[in-house]
Amino acid sequence: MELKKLIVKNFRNFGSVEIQLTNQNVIFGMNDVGKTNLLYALRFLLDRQIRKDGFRDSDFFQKNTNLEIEITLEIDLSNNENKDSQHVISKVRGSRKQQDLEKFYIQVKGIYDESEYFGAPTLYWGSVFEELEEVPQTGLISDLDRLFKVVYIDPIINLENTFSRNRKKLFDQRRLSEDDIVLSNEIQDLTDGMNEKISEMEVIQDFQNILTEEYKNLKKEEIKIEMKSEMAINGYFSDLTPYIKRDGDEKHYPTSGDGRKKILAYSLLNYLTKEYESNKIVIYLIEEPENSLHRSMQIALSKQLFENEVYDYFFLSTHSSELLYEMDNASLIRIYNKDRVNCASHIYHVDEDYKSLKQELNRSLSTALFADKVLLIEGPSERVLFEKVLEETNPTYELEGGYILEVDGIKFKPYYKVLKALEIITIVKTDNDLKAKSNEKTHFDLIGFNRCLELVEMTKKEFVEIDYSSIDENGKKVWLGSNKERLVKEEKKDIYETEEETIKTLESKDIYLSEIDLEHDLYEAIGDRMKEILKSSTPIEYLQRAKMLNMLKLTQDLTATDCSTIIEHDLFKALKRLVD
Amino acid sequence: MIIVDQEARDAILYEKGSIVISASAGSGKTTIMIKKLKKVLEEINNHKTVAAITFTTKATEEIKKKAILEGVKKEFFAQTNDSFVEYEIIRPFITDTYGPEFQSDFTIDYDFKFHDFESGKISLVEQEKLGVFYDIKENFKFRLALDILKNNTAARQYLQSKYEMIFLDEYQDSDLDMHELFMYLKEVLGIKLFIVGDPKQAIYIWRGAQPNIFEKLDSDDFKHYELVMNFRSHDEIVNYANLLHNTKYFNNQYSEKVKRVVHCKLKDFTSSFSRLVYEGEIDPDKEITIIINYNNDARECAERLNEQGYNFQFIPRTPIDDNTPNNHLLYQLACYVIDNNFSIYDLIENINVDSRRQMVRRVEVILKKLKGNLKCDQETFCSTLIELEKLLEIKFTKDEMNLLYETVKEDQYHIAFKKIEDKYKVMTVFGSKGLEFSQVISFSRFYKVHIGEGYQNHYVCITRAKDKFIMVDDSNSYEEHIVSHSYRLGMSKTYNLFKSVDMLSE
Repeated sequence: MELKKLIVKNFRNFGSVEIQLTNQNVIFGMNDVGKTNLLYALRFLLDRQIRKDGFRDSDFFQKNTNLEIEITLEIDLSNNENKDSQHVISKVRGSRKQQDLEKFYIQVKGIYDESEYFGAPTLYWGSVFEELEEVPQTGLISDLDRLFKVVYIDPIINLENTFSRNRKKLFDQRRLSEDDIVLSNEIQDLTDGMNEKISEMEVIQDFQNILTEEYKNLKKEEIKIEMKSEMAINGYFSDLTPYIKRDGDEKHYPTSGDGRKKILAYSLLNYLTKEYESNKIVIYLIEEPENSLHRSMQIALSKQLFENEVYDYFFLSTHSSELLYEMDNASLIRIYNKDRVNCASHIYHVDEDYKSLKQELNRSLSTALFADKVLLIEGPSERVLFEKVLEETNPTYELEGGYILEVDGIKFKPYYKVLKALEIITIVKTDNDLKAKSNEKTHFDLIGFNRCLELVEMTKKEFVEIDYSSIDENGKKVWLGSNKERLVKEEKKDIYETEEETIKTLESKDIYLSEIDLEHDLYEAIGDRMKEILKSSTPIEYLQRAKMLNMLKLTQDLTATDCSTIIEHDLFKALKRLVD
Repeated sequence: MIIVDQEARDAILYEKGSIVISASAGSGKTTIMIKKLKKVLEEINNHKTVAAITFTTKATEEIKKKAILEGVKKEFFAQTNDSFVEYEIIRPFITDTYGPEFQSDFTIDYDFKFHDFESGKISLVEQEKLGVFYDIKENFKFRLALDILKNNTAARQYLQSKYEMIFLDEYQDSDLDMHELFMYLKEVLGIKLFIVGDPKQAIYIWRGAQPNIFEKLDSDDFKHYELVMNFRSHDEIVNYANLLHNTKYFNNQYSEKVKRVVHCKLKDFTSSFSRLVYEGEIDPDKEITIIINYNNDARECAERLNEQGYNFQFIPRTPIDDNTPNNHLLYQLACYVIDNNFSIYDLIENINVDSRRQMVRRVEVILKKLKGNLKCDQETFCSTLIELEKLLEIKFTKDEMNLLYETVKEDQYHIAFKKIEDKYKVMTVFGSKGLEFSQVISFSRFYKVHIGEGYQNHYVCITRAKDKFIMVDDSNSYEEHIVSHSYRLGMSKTYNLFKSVDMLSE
């Protein structure tokens, strides 16, 4: 079984959204944009406890109770060897039609009843969207509730509460073995004995007497106050508290610390779900679990969520990039607010080529996901320069949703694809590189230009021919590096000029190609200042000798004026775009 | 007690595949079925379940009760074979299979008859009725269900995904159409089957049950087991039954002088009855059941015995004893109308309808005209039943209404619907099926076993007896057939098989 799509209409702040899903879904977006509401849409659909309260007027989009709420989940059953697919099939009987055996829809609708101040939710399901049938219901429980179990974990999940609320289930007296019953009786005797000993203590007796006297002074009554251990009154199970014991250490440590408590509460819920809901398909709804978890704990939890089979199906809302480190085959759902609240989703799949780089890829990507605008750059010298320029001109750019992402070895494409799909404004800045073919040294591929074209799926350019050979004094043909460098540079300029139209088109799509490369662009903008600061008549060559190091040296001395000259320059439109 | 087939009983529980069990009368077939069902259910670690399918609602109820006693905790489906195909195959999938003109809310009308399958399908569209074939031996409902399964992937996937194993009780009563559907479940859908029944008790061949149905199960992918140990009857009675019906297990070495099985020759049964009691052949302190296969003979026998001061209750074969579709409901209605001590709550509980107060009240209001009113005219009677049909969303056939009316009108049938504590009864072999009594008396003229007639009835009759079986030999060839058969099987002394009591001479 695979979750495919969620369609929410007229529910809370969603007018109409359609979201692609997989079995592992991550929901993110600014505060108050509707992450919790999206989880609520699922809860109304799948959780009897939430559904039984019905839809209130405030659950209708813009409180317009003339509209009909409609929440639909599409699932895929094409793999009917899968046990959960079979489970669904076995419960829905004739609601599946031959016409479509792969899809299945589950839907809840709500029509507001003015006289009752309430919209009763009605459940439907079926394999043909236009012909859904009402889900059979006996009393308050529908067949859908026999199939799915929603486990909702709120951000402030608390160990003590989770533990005490489930104490009865955890230590089910009916499950005691015969040996346990014997032990249980012995414990009862011991606690009785302990209470006797307590009451024999002088300090206790004195205190009891004092208290009794005090009481009698206030109210004449034949009573006696006695001190008892909790255990004797409420049974010893009431007294059990989980402790942590490290391997190879005799001491017990309290499970203090919110992080550890939280992890333990998760373990508890897992156990309870496995034990008591084994006959249902469990869908976890996890809301911002990162609260009070240390970064390393978040990374550990990420591993749990994406790799532990307990969490076969989950929806996770989060602000934490660390929680996304282990993701693969996850649906990324970004909720954003343009004219109205919208959702963009993308099924994120780490391509085979990058499997080995998954963590690295995810690490840089996951931070970018939380931004509204991302500038993708090639390497560290760009970063050094751009950060300096922005620091001087737009110091709050990150707060406003901007983010610079260095793609380094991984290339632009995987980042660009994901960010773009999530409707994040994605800006690319790259060098106009040429590269000789390995088998033909006069044939140069336009790798920089093609990189840009590829991102927007435009046809790539053919190679160009640069014959940089010359005849030496002996009449012999030679291939000089200096010749090559000069000719290649000229060719780049030539391309930049002749392809002006295409470059304009690319720029309209936020893809910016350098005329030659970063250093040349910079020279065009502030050539004289570069000579001055670097004390070199050939500052481009100087920078390229030790790219990042020398760039650092340069940026240290750039003034606010220099920086605004750069950002306003035509060759740095990419940077301007990040902050406009 | 040495249980001769203990090995088979253990193996059945551990067998992983499909199973066929030929279970002799009194061998505890329902018990082994529930035990296996419990084990299969416990071993399932996913959503799958099992279904227990029987012929009558009564048997379904018995399975549910026994399952609770055996400690079956997980839910499973127990239903009649008719409702299984109706609610698991036909209604859910008919529209999707044949198109929107086939609606799933057809009524069942067993009076509505046709000759062939296509006409049956057309009437589902035109009359919105599911009827039956004229030929009582052919089964439209099961043929339709199989056709739907063959033509609907969703239906196949549904059953496949839902059932780990299907348990089929009383398989000897299956007709060919049922058999084909069940084999399709096993062979095409890969659902394991647990089949239990007793070919020797096939008494419904007249209405289509396949005489050789167990032979048809003779394929490799079934494991065959036989349960012969009869926990109900005394060894001597079991051996006597085995002589003709379970030859393989007949013990020709039995060396005791038999006391529990008696062949009795006498002039007149009613006048000899007291002598049988006097001579200790019949223990008057225990149950006595006389099995006579014709209502009139049986009534007369009871009357004449009662003239002598005994208190025999004649339990007639009533018009509604025939296995009609709503047989169980008819029986309960008859109880409610006839027996003043049978309350509306007894009725509601036994017919398994919604027991909310409102519903109880509505049923009571409708049936008010009939309760205790045994002289009601036929028109009022039928119109009341039609009202009830609407409320309960069921459909009686015209025959059923007439049979029920006849049953209520005729005083002679009433006794069959009242709870009786009497120890002495006279009844037919059909009425005795599934029951057991301490002492059973019957008459050899009903069983022409020497010409191959009444075989199954003969077996059923003998195996009702726990402690004593008396065959009043009032035919010429019966004893001769028995004796020659025992010689052929190597038993030389007839007193090791039965005791002869001669009351012809004074």
